Amino acid sequence: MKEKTKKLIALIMAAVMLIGSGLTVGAAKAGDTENDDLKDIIDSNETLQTMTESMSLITYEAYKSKYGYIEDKDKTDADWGDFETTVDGVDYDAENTNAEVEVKEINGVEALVTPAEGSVAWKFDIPETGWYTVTFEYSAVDESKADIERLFRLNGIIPYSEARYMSMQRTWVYEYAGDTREDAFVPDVIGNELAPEMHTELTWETYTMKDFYGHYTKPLEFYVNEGEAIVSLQGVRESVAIASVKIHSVAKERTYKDVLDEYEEKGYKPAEGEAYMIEAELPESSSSVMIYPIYDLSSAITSPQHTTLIKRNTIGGDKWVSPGKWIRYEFKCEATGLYDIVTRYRQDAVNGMYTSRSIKINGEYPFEEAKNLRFDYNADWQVAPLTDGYDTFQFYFEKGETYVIELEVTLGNMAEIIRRVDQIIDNLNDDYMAILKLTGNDPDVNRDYGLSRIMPDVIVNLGGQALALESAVDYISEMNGIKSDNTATLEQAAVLVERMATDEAEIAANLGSLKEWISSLGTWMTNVSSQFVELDYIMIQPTGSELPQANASGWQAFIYEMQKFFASFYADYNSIGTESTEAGALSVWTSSGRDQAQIIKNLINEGFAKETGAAVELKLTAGGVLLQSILAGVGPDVSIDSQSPMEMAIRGAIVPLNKFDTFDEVMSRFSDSAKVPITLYGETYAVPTGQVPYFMFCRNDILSQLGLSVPETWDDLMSMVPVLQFNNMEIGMAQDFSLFLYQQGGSYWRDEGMANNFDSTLALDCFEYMCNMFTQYSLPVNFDGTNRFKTGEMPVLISGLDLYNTLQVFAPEISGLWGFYEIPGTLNEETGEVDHSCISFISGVVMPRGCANEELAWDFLDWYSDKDYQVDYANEMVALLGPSGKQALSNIEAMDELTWTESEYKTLQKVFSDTFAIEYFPGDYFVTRYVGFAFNSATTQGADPSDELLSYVSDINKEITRKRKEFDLMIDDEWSAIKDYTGFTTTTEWREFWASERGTDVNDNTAIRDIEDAEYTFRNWMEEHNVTVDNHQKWVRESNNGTTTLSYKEWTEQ
Amino acid sequence: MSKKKETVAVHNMSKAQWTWHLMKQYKVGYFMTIPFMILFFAFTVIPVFASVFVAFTDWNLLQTPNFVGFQNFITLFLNDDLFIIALKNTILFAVVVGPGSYIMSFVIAWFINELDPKVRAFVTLVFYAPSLTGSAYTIFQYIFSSDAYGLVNGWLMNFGLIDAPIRWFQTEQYIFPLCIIISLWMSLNTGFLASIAGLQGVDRAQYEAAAVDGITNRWQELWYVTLPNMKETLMFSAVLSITGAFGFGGIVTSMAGDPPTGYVGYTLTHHLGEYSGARMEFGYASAISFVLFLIQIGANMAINRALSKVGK
Repeated sequence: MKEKTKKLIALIMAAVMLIGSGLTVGAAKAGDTENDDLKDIIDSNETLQTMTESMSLITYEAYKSKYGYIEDKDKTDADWGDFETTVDGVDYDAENTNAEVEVKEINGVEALVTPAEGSVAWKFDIPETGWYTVTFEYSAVDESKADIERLFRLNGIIPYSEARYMSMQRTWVYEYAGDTREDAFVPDVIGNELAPEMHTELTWETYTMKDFYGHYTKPLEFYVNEGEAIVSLQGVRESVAIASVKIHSVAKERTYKDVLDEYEEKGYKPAEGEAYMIEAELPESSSSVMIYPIYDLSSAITSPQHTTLIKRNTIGGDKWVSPGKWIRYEFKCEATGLYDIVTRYRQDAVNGMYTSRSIKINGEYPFEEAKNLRFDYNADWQVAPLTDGYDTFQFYFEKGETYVIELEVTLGNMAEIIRRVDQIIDNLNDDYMAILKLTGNDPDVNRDYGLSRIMPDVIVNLGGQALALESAVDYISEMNGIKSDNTATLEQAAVLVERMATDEAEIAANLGSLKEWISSLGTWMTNVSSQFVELDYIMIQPTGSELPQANASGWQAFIYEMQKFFASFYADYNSIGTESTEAGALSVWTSSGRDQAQIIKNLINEGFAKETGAAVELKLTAGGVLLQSILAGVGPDVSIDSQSPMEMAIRGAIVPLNKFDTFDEVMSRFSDSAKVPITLYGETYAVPTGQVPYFMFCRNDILSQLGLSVPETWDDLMSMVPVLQFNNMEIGMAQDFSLFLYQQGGSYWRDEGMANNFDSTLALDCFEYMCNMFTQYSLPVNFDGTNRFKTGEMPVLISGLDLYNTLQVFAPEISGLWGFYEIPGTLNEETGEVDHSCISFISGVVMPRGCANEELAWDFLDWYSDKDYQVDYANEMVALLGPSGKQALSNIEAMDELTWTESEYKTLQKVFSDTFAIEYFPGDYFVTRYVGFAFNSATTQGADPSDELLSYVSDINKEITRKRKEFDLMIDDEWSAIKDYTGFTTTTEWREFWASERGTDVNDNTAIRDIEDAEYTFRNWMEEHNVTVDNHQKWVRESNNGTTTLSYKEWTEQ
Repeated sequence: MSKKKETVAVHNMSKAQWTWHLMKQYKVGYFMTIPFMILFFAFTVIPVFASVFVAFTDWNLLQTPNFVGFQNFITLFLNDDLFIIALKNTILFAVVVGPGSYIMSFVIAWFINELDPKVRAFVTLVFYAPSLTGSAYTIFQYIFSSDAYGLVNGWLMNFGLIDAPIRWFQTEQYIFPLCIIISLWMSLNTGFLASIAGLQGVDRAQYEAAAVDGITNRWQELWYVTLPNMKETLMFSAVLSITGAFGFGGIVTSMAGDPPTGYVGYTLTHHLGEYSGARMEFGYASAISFVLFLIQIGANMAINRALSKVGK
């Protein structure tokens, strides 16, 4: 029966292939004309339209079939070209260049420096039409940390999507303290080894066109017509110097068999000499500042190892997983002959699969198989000579020569599988969306949707995907020799898809599972793309020598563990770095994770401690202990990430920062709004470090399919609702009416926090507008935004930037299909401008009461909030957590140097420059609480939003007054009395009056606060003028009755 | 220890002398309780008394407190609407959940007691598991999720009973009943285990004796034999469940938020947390905790009196 079905599917498949290839040709033709229009799109801002267009770039596969590419295995000797033409960087094509270039000599090579903006072109003369690739010889020109990014164009167009984006890496050189392993790393006070410093070096590297994701291990090739060819690079990030540009054929590479034959021919013998060991943690250079020596404590024989101290004894691991990242080592041999390169490594990350590296010796691949070295999975450490799974490789080294070996991350043979699965995910996503549009996200199982009649192609396509998945499974198990949980994901997905394809009735019932499985496939892809290898050492040993020991023997392990156990009684693992007993050390507390604390600690050691010479003791504490510690008088000098500092500040437990000399300079690093919630009555109590606004995430693929665009205003957003709902989709909206209120210039507060402002028409309108979104437009109130965004049910979602990070990891299957934008705005009818300003939530660093050395602590805050630190920290977080660790910093300048792409950065810049924050005033917790109550009543009980909010106004004010009394602040009733007495309408007038009367500053708080030590405050003034709350109320009553016609001032004087 | 080393004339001694004499006699026992006593005093007794003192001040943790007399208590009873709501809710919870969980513990234990030992062990685990895991009630967040994909919402929508998801824990009328159901489900805790142990401890011979004495049905057996035999266990279990019910609040917080919409299900624990946390008014918070403490003591005494009537 199963055979029959398979045959049937095969038959259908054949039919689809025919139709499919027809479609591809059609698409390619369409692509032709589209590509011409694409010329300038990248210059303009990334609007939805350009997104859609750049998404319509054809793929490399389509490009190859369009121009008749012959795959390597089908090539005859005549098909391998050997053409090569080089143009010097300085001989650029001025006609097609609009960047401001300059000529500069770097390391004795004259080169063209191309800036981060504008494009540069080179002209070539191609004698014969054919397939060529392009190689650039480049060098960095400065010591910036960001990767160099460029857009590639051939004859003015981007040939296909894989060739669009280029990322050229810098060369990072390690700085060791000494020449031997023992003194290579600087120890900290306790003796733990610190990671070495690294700096970029201006070296000449080559970049041959390649796929950014490493899905193709060969260089990308282009079909270039005879005649003139123009290669151009458009700047995206950072300057780069180009020495030469070369168009050349991809040459056929030697196989290992050829190399062996050569060895035999020349009579090479195994070397006779000692093995040479390279400690992997001591490379010469690498391509990323994040590939620094790490440590392994698990194995007793990792070299070197220590029972209590941290020895940096390995490299790689999760910091060396993405394709293209390389590490270089140098060595010399004692004897001439054949050697094995043996590594001690651990690959315990990708179960049942192997990960890959390629090796270059002196900049060249020695043979084809060297591009696909295989590192098998095992929970333990392993020792093995370099192998591709079939042969173990021998290398010929000569005595006294210096050799450079370069290990680079590659996807190896997995590249093809990943490519295939990527394609399958795309196809399944399309099928899913097609079905979803007909059935909705919760299809009726018992209904016959007539899918085979309405969308036969979708069902046929599903069948095709099932077969494709099965063949992928076969391929993987063949390569790895075993089946594992990694192949199981593909197998199970295949079973489901096949069931849906063969039995139409199963489609509705399994639509939900299909969605889940698409997502699992995406996760699978991320997992297997991550090429984890942790290296302990590289042993260059004469061929035929015995392999070193891979793991500690039982006895060695036992001794090591016992030593560690006994050491645990006296070793201090907690204080990171400097000794905790050191007197006068600046104590800094953080309640972030241990990894984060370690990063902070390293940065303190490398930065602040070095610069100032001060000892810093960083302590990792549980959250919420700050208050108690201040109370007990054992608090820190600086507290990082403290919650609700203002509640403590108003009770005098936080040191105000305005008094420091460089205060204004430090604060100028942040947007104005960042200061707002940490400032009270002119005093600022924290230095902001994090700022979290909302963004609007859009599924561009869905919006463009539905003919919608990214909404500009809230009204635009609401007008999308009917279209989306018709397609069974919805919008994920944040429940925050401050967005509307502050965009229209409103506020939560009035009169410097003496009362809330919810009884104003504007506030009530805004609140009602928001509630209507959820009642009349029935937007969902509770939802799992990430999931629905991922599945496409919720193509528009207002959310914090953490969604960006989640999607990077959690939803690789939709990468490139979505973008984030400013939140919709409110149209200002007078000016015609749209106000996009967005609320942001601020976290900061504070200096608690009892700080022993305030000047030093301030220097620390200054350093901590500075661009350099913030950039380093953010980069370290990305290294630690991968793309999900990207940070949004409150330091505006720092944002520029992070790993955001240009368009992302533009959005971030726009959003951050346009934020607001809600002021803190005593009693603010009641405000948010009652807004929540009113919202809940309006949405669950069907109550009138305005009525609900109004009913809470007096409750909120009562609490505000109560709190203000506690802090001897002017309360609303007193203010009413003063207003009536003086005739002022705003507190500013009152403050000005107070300043002129008392001869003080306008910000003098005696005007509104009965400060204990002050000799004269507003209370004294009220007493003097016989202004009291009681008699004011009496006057109000009397004047309402008509008993008195006197003004309040006259009335009191009477 | 039971051997007396010297004979003393009890009638010659004052009460204090007699106590001192006994303490000397059992000094090893006292010595052994010292570690516990130190902790008990440092973290329970002293804080309790300290909080009584703090209740008469306006302490905010950070600044020097002022003595304010009975002001906190006066405000509490006369000028704090939330306190009255919290008190009402707390008592309501305690009255429903306290005896409810207590009776449930006992009745279920009684049923289980009849089972085969192996089956009994399994069933006990099933009933005890929710409270064993501590925060198992978060499963209800999934069951009663406000999302359209929540279990209950999903079912109701599938059956066509509702057409938009109900936001269970944000809708005032559902919060209270749902929280009571959850706390009853969670309430088969230590008291329940004690009841099982108590039932196991009843001497089988007494049932035979009772049968001879003329007991005719299981109810009489329960009332005249089982329960009087388990008085201490019952006491233990009752104190646990009823005082526990007064300290109720964690479930409401994690299901409906703190404070819950419209203060439905807002209990004294929340009120206490609000003043010590959000408003940083420790003096006032201490006054609240003192009142809660008195209520719990009162409840204990009531339980004592009620249980003394068992078997009579």
